[in-house]
Amino acid sequence: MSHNHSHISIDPVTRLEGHGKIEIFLNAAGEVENAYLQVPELRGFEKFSQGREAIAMPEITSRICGVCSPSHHLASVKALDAAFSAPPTVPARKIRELMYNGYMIYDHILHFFYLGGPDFVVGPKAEKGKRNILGVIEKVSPEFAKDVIRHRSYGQKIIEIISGKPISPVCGIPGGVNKKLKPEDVAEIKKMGESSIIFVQKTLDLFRDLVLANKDYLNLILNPIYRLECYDMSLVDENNRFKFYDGIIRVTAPDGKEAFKFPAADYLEYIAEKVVPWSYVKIPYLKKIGWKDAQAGADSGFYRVGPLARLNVCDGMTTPLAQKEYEKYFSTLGGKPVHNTLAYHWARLVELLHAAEMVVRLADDPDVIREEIRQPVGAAGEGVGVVEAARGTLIHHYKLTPERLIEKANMIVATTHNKMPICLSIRDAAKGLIKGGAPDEGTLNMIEMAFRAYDPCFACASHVIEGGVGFDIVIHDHRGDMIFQRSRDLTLL
Amino acid sequence: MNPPKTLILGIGNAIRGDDAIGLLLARELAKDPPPETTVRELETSGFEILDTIAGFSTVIIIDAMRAKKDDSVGEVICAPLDASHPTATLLPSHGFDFSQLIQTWRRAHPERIPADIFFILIKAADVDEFREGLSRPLQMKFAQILDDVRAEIKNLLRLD
Repeated sequence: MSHNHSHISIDPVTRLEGHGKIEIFLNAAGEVENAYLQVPELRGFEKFSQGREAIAMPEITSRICGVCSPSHHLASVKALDAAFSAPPTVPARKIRELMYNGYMIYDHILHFFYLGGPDFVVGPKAEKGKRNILGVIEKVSPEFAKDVIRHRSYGQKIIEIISGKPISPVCGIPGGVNKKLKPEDVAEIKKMGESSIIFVQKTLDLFRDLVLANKDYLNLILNPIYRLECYDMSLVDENNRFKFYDGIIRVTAPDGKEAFKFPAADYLEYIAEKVVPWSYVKIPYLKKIGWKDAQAGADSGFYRVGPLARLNVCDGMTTPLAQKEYEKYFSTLGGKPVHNTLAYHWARLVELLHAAEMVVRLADDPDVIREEIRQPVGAAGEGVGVVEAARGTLIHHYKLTPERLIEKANMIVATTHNKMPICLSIRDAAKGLIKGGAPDEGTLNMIEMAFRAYDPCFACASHVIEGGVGFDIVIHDHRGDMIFQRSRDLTLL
Repeated sequence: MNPPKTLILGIGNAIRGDDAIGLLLARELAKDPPPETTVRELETSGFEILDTIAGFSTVIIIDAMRAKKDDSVGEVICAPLDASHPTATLLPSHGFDFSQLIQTWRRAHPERIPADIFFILIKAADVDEFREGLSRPLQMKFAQILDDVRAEIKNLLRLD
């Protein structure tokens, strides 16, 4: 370790999937010089995929992550749609989209109430033991807790009805889906969607009463230490409107203007990945803008994905209630684009409302009970599938052999897109909050809030019980010199 | 006849190397299940575990944990769920603290949460790479691990 650096560790990063660790480096004056987020990232997807039957990929990849399985499933099946030149039939596309909005309901509810929400609902400097879902219940009401549990389960139930399984869905096949929907299924889904709309509206009222009406919290959202001006990326429809399931990739610049728009299949022309010495995963950036080490801004190709980016990128929502909320969001936060990292939480609620509305809209659509749910596939080729996962843009890219085996595979998950912005957000928050000496627990939590807003999902497989962690963490500086190394030594039980 | 009120739940990820150990052990246990138990596999965590365990009176969850040292791979640890210690590092499905989840559900649906929840944890070697199948060290010890797990279950359920 360099002699003129000292460090503060926040470990473990609570309420983060997987097991994260923030490293903050101080200079000799005790001021923050840099910050990194270290996580045990999963490796080897390409090698794992090579030689497998392509048709098996949607099922296999849905098991990558227990929480994001519908995203991986649909990104994978869309890659195969393209590789087999078999776009889904209209009913199949709508059935997939219906399932996907169910996924958004359960996933966004989880994040707001269990992960990010406690910071606001309970308070960023509240006692550590209260900054969790139990604290939220205490602050709101046990009855509301029942509503949270019920509506999360609705999201999962919608997936189960459509795919046969509440997790790791298997309904998508190249060119369509493998199961028709019955009118009674659709009626049940619609009821759950209607109830979800009411629930989300109550949640938004709660957010307004507890967060927006609190001047301190609003100031926190608008605080420059939680602001990162960079590019944003998301799918949009043909009218540049909001879209989870498909569309064209649009990138907007820090000033909000459109920078690029391209079909998913062209992503490699726009997105490059760079190896850095401090991370197992490569860091993506916009190729045409270029790499600027640890810098945001218009001259640096780093970009964000996820709820905040999606609202910045699109020109509006496609459902009426979410559109109204979208307008309130931007008018309250000073207009487009919003670069305030903590606004991710509100953006997530706008999306949650949209998802609930979409469930009702699609359930009302007679196409979802039509018979034509698949079409024949063509010769094997190459395909890219993109969806907006709960955490942001998810890309699956497969090249197939003529025998329909995977020859090459690539995957970029949302948190990988966000990796550098997360690090920059942590650094900037730490710089604003740590002014020499050891920070207190509340300050450390406020630093964690800078990345928790992104809803990061690093390990992409979420159920190892992590006790003693036996690997070294090695960190290098921007010159590539190693400045820190130690073994993590946590004790379970 | 009432269904068994004890659930043995193997959890893990089948494509994440040694994280599959909980699933594989449950599969073996299901071939000759302990008396009056239901054995299931589950490839996820967090809330989905709650959905699965709801309605049982006793639950034994079998899962992997990272081995701190190579020579401890395959070691079996048994522990009750204890609300007093942090489990944010346990079952980190997007960081949910499992004991918090249980407490949340107890408040909302007290009748649905099992009275007794235990963990049987197997120290694993490799969980950070996409891979099917266990690592060689865990494969070599699998039979012994299965015996140890059966013994732990017998002890927990006071089966003689």
